[in-house]
Amino acid sequence: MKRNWRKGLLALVLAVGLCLGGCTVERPEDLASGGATQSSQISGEGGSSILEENADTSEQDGSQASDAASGSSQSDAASGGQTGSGNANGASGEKDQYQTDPVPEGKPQPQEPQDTEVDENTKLTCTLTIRCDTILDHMDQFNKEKLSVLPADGIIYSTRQVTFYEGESVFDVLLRETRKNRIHMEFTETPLYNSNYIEGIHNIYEFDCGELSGWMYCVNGWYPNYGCSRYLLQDGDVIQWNYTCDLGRDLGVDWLENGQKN
Amino acid sequence: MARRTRTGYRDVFSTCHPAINFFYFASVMLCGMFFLHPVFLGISLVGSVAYAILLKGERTARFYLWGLVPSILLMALVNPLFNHQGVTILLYVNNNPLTWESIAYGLAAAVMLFSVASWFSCYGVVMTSDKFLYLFGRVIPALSLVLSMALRFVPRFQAQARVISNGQKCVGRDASNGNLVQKLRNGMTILSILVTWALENAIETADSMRARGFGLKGRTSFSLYRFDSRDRCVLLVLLGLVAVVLLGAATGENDILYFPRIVVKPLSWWSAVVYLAYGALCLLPLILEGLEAYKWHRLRCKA
Repeated sequence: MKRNWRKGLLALVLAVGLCLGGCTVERPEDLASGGATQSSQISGEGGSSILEENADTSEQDGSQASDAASGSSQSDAASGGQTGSGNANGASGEKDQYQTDPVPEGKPQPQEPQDTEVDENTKLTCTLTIRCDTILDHMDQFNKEKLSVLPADGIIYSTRQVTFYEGESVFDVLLRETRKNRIHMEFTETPLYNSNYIEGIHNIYEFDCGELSGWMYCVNGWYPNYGCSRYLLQDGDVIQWNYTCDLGRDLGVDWLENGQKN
Repeated sequence: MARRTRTGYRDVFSTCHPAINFFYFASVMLCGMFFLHPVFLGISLVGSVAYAILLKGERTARFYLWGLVPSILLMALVNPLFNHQGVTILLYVNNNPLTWESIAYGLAAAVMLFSVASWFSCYGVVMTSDKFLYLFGRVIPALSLVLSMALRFVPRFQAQARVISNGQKCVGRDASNGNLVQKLRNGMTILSILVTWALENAIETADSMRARGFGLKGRTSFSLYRFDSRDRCVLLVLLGLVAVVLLGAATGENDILYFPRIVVKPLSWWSAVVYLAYGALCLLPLILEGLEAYKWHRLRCKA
């Protein structure tokens, strides 16, 4: 009896050890002191002017997405042309192997993260914003326990220029910047969509503001219909992470209306 | 205090009226389940473990020490693997944050689980099936019989399994005989005998209970209990303590928020009163035991 108990304990310890063995454990400071320190300096210099710009756009909330879309058509075309040949399913009207509906004309196709190589020698810049100001309009639905982490102006990460390496995705930039700035962020890997899913940023999680709430990202004003690990960034891209309380409708996302779900 | 042999001795609280025993366990288990405040958890764990040791002796103490502490630590470590909420980021595991809040929550959940399990083990010793049937035999005869049978199902199953296994050992067909295939086959035979016995035994029990008029009007119980003045006294104290604890719960003294950051009510005189009341509630069997010992001591000194 006693030996069985010991064996069981040993098996348990081994199982836990195996589970933990596959994990990478890092201290919060590790990344901040790593290779990407230059980007924080860049963001420090360019930060102030962009911040003012951001304050302007935040007043006209609903139209903001469409504004950005018209303003950045140039880079859209560039990235669309670059990636168009990557995926053959462009206009076939069927889902690809990761359940993604066809990407609209002129928008970049998803790039699988396992197929892209990060070139650490080529540094590019993009713009990143993380905000949750839609919650301020839906305070009645918001999880009262999370009030202490809700920023008064709804801005978690004010618009800044950040450095990234060629071949990185929207997710890579989000992960690096949240870690560098000590912003909490949780994601899960979803192999079905071949992407990481962002569950919560700054302790504001999906479903914290009603059952249709969660985090969405848009690049150059367009909300991609695929996951953020599959969006290959181009130089000068404008990334926004926005919190939606209404499945994207309050952010001006239109493709969810057509009965397409992602 | 004449120290107990394992059989025969009953602690003072067990000799109280079954209604008091039942009410006591119902209240401490419910409080233990729903109060996740660290102070309340600690009180509940200490009370339940101390009472379990009083009831079952030193072997339980050793079991608690070697089994409980590692399991609680393990649960506290496992929780942060799945829960990454919280504002205090300690480490990054696979790029997801490992937070102090989720470790604290894991600890709290583990302590809660073990204190309630420990209360249940005390309940199993104190609330014997005759007490349970005495309480509920007339109100809900069928359900109370089923419950009392179900609650002692596992220990009876174990005991009968040992009997069957010993019998099989005599004919060389125990689960420890032979090679692996034979062992498995013998084990299956024992299991099949056990299940057959359990089904038959359940029907037999039900039949014999019916034959003796279980649940009919005017039927008496196997054990008779009188609600005497000591019981009245204990009940009053019990009700008072539960009332204070529930009042404290109503004013939010037991509230704790773990996510996104740990928020508890600051210590005040009222919270101290509630903690004291909860401590007295959880330690009530030990307090009764101590009072009895003191009484004996004084009587001996007089003699």
